[in-house]
Amino acid sequence: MSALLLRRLWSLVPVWVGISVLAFALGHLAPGDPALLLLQAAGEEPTPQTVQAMRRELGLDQPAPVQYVLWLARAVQGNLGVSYRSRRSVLHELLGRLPATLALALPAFLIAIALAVPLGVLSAASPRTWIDHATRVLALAGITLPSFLLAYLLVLAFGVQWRLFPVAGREGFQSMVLPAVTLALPSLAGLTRLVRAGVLEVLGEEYVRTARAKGVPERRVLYRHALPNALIPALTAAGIRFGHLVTGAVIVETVFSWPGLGRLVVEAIQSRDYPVIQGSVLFSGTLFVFTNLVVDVMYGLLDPRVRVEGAGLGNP
Amino acid sequence: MKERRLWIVLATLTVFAIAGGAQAQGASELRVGWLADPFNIELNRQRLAMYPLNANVCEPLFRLTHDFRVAPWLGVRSVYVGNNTFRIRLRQGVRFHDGSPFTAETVKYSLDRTVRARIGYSFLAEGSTRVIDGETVEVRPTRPNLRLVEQLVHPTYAIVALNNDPRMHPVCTGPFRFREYIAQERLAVEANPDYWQSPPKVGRITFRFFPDDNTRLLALLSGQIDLAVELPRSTVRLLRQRRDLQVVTAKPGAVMMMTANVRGKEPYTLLRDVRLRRAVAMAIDRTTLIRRVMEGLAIAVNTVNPPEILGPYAPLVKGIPYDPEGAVRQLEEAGWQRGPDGVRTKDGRRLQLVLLMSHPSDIDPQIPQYLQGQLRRVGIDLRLDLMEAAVTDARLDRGEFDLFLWTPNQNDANPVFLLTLWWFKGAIARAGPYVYAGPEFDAIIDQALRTASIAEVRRLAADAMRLLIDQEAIAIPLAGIYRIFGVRAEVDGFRPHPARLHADWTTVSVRR
Repeated sequence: MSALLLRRLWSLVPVWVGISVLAFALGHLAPGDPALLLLQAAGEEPTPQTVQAMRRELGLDQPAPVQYVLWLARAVQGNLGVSYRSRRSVLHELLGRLPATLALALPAFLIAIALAVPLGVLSAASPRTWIDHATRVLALAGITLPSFLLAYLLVLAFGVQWRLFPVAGREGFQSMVLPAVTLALPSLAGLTRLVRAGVLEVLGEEYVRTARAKGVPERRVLYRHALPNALIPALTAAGIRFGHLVTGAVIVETVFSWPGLGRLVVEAIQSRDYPVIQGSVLFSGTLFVFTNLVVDVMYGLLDPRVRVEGAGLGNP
Repeated sequence: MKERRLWIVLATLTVFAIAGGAQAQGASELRVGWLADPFNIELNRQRLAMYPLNANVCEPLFRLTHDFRVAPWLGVRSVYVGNNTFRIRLRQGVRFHDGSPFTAETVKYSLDRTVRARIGYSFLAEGSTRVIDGETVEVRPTRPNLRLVEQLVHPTYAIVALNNDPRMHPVCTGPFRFREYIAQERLAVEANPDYWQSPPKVGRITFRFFPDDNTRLLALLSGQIDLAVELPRSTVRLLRQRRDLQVVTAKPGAVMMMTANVRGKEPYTLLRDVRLRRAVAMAIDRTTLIRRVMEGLAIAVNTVNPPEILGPYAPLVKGIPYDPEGAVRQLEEAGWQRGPDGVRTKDGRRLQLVLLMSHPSDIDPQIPQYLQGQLRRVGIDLRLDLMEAAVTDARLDRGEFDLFLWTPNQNDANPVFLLTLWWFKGAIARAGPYVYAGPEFDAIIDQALRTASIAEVRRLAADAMRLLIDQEAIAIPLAGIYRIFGVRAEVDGFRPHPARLHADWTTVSVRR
């Protein structure tokens, strides 16, 4: 298992380096001189001398590869620079918004998982019945409806028409419901389809037929024999989905006035706050890399074949 | 079966229990739906509850009236005593929220603080404010600036208690006291029972931040907020259909206009020719723009700031009237002939102008499209560059535009404020070097900055605008813009100020 972990870790290094190059390049390809922007953000009237001094201070007078190495060395120590807009450290800005984002992403993830598995199994266990059709319609709607439309529909129904939940803002537990559900639905839809497809496939396997022939109750066949194997592909998708929930909630956070990472990125883009944009890209990329690693490890735990292959013993 | 029913009942009760608190509201609380959090900027420049969201926590020495005049406030009188110096007599018996008295020292502390925080724009230095006695201060800017008193109405110059750091917890003299600020979420203030004038009619105001216009509107429709600020014009029809809502508009406090790049580098050089600028101005039917495109929710103006600020001199600025034939004559005189596709050409160059505009902004995207259609009729191809704010700023810095469309606000009583900010020598606006109006314009503004009589300054401002708009067509005013508020029927007494940074929340009450 540790061999698998090491191999996976090693394979992720180039991916992470690629992300860091991309994040670094963003700041350099963007219009405007960072030194000038920093001085302007500080309310100063930049002169050629002060701009030059600031360029030296930021290391911008060095060749690009040197700048990248310096930037990366600082980044791995948690120093992602200073926001042009707020003059606070980028890490502080990111960590400040992370709890709000997690407060949505975690419930959304739990809702998606908690509903997708039973719905997918139910749908697969009763194909071409009304349950199956209803589940597939729900899944299709969840996948095809854009987040902003879904958000407004939920707000119109539950916020404006029936006034059950606040329309937007962060005002206690009630205000989490609509954004969490909006965020959860696309994941729920995708995972439901995956679980359904996985269970249907596994139900055709010989060992399931054998179990049934032995008189094992249908519920046990489904949940004990079929589901664990059907869940493996869904697990990969769930891991990626979690990454999306944390880093991709821009629209949901904007519509629901939720002060999370997505809103931070939007604000940073609007105000040319390149250190925050760079930091966000690096943070999101790292989160995806980490999530993939966790998924790979869980894959190994669930499927012994992966452990064997991961240890390099899979091939003769 | 019974068990299943019980579960259904329990689940329903849970949903309602969760939702129960959704619409909870205080008896005398006003809930205002604001735009995005405006305070999340560099701490040193933060002016919590003052700017740009003025929650009436702090007060300046003078007040900006609804017709853009200066009225006494914490300062009861100002006299120009010569040598670029103003003597200001202070109101007595006023106390700060912490009980400390309002004195000349607090005025000096507050104005010096704006200098240290680099947030003022009136050429003040740390030594500019001098305490004469307990009730009098003298203020002398470092450069000739006789517009000082008109500038002191700006919330930037609000007076704070001695040694108070208003960046995080302002202690001032206003009708409301600061209570709570949660970044990106809300700002809450509560009534000051010891206010030196009539106390406010609501006990508390909570400003909730909704960056999305639609969400702000939905929050109003749902009753989550009592008042939504700055709603898009497109929502007015919907709001007017509802009995539980009122649409309240302010008087115009801003002018939507275009300014021309008159000192651009290739390829942005076409509008150096005044005939082309005049042709652009003549080609636009502003009456139809206001009636049809803006659904009547704007007014016709010929000036770059609200006409009221010029008083009786506003009619001196005539603007360039709609005259498509005149536009064609100007273009042909300049040598631009119609090509086969209707767009004019000269020496092989197409007459294409680039209109730069920040998007999203408070300008409806239909407006640049309308302008495009209008100019096309006289043979000008208008390319619309609707850019994200950061890109717009960068392009303004570099002069990469022919025309820039925007809506600047007038927030003080200085008639030459916008003229100085945009078209004057050394203007601090981003596009300043490219829209600079020239030495003749500078001479008028210089004189206005050195003139004590406000009536004379209004006349000078009108003169400057005649040059800028009527003769040179560097600025092309399109419409006077007012802000639109959605207000629930339970709210009374809301009278919005035309200037964006000025508000009076003391008259507002809520019937629950």
